[in-house]
Amino acid sequence: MQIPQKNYREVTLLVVDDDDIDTIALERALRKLKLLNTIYRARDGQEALDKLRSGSIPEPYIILLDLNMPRMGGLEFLQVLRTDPLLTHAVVFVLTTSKSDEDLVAAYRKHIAGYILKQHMDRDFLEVIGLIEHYWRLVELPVSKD
Amino acid sequence: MSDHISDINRADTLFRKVVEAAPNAMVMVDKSGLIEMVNTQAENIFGYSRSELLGQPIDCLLPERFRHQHPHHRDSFFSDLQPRAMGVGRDLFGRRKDGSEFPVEVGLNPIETEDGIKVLSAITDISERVKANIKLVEHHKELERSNKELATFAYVASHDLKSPLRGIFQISQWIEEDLRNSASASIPAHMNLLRGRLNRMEHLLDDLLAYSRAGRLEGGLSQIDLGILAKNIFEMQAPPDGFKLLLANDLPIFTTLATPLEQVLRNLFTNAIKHHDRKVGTIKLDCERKDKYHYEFSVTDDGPGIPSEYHERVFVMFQTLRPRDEVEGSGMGLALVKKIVETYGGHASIVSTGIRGTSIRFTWPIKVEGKVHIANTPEKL
Repeated sequence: MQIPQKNYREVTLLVVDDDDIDTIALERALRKLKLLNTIYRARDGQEALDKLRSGSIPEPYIILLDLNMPRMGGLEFLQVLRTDPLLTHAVVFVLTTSKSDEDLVAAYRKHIAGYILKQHMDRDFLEVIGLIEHYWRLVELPVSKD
Repeated sequence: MSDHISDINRADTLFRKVVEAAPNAMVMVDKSGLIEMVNTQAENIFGYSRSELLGQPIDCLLPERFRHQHPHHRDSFFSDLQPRAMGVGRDLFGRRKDGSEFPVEVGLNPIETEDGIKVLSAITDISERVKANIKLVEHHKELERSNKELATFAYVASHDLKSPLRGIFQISQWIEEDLRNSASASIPAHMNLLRGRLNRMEHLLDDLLAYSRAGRLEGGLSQIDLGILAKNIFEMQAPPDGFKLLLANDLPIFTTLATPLEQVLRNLFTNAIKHHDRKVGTIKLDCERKDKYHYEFSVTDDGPGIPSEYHERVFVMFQTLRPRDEVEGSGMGLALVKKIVETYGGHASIVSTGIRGTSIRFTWPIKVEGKVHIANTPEKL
C-alpha cells in the first residue's frame, strides 16, 4: 500500500487580494517562517476564478481571500466557488480588514475554514501565518484524482 | 329712561371703537350669517370697502368650495355658544375681492346684544406664517440629508481611509527589518510604495471633501458657451499627446450654474483619460434636447468600456473597477457626478457594451434653479 507522501511544501497558496502591500506582507511573513510554498496571486474574485478554472493552480491549494476588492469581492467569489462542482471543496481562509458582523456571518455561511483580521499587523501576523501553516501540515487536503 | 338709552349708546360707541381699533380683522355677523359690522383691518385684508360688506352673507368671504359647508358649521356654533377657534384641524382660507385666496386663522366669539346673539370673528392672515413653515420643513429635510451624509462619511472614512494607513505602517516595519538585516536592496521600492500610499490618502481626502461639497458651492449663474468651457477643461487636464476632444456642432450657449457643470465635465474627462487602455484616444461631447426642460449631455470615450453588470456599482462612493495598485483612483469621480447632477434634478446613466467604449449621459436643466443650503462652511477651530 502506498502511503501518499505528504510534503507540506507542496501546498500552493492562492492569494486573492487587490492590495499589493498586503500581498508583500504575506510573502515576507512566509519567508520569515522559512516556508517555501509557491504563491499565486489574483487581484479580485474574477481573476481568481479564471486561474482556478484554467487549472493553473496546482493542487492541493489553500485560498487566502480578501473581502473588499473591485470588480468581484470576496463574498461574491465564495458564492460562485461553492456552486462550482469542480471548485466547491476548496479550503478558504478569509483575511480581511472588515470587522463587520454581517461579513463574518456571510463568509461562514459559505463554509470558510476561518475568518482572520488583517489588523493584527506585527507579531500576531506571523502567528496567523503560522496557524495556516500548521493547518496544512496537519490536515489532509483534497486533491482531485484524475 | 334717557340716561339708560345714552348709557347704551355710550357702551355701543365704545364697543365700535374697540372693534375698529383691533389689530385683527373683525367681522360681526348675526344668526343667519349676515355681516353687521366690520373694521378697517377687515376691509384691508379682504379688499372690500365696508359698504360692500355690510348686509352681505359672510360666505362671500370664503372660497366657493367651502361655502356649502359653512351654514352647517354656523349652526353647530350656535348650538353650543363657546368662544373658540374656528375649524381646528382644518386649513382655512379667505377670499379677497379680486378672487385670490389666502390662509387664515379665525377666532369666534358669541356676543349677546339686544337684537340677539351675534358672532364676532377675529380673522388673521397667516400667509407669512405658512410660508415660514414651508421653509422650516425644507430646512429640516436638508438637515436630515446632511446628517445622513455625515454618518456615511464617518463610516467610509473609518474603512477606506484606514487602508492606506495600514499599508504605510507595514512598509515602515519592513524598512526597519531590512535595515536591521542589511537587506537594503528593496528599500527604494518600498519607499516608493510608501509615498504612493501617502499620495493616495491625500487624494482620497481631497475627493471626499469635494464630494461633500458637491452641489453646494454653486458660484452664481453665468452665461456659458459649452463648447469653449469643455475645451478649456479638457486642456487643463493636460491630456497625453494622443488624446483629443471632439465637440458636437450643436453644443448650447446658455445661462446656468457654471461651477457644478464644470465639476461634472472635469470628472468625466479625467475618468475617460485615466481609464483608457491605449496611447491614443478620442473623447466626444454631445448634446441632445431630452425634453422641454432638460438637455442630455454625453461624454463618450473609446476606452475599454464597462460591462453592464458594473453599471450601477461604478456610481457608488469609493468603488473602483480596477485595483488601486493598478490604476490610482479614489473611486469618487462618478459618485460625485451623480450627486451633482441629481442635486439639480437630473439623472446620470452609462451606456457601454463592456467591449469597447463608454458613454456617460446626464441630464441638465435648461433653466437651473439654485438650491437652498444649510451653511456648509466649517467652524473655525
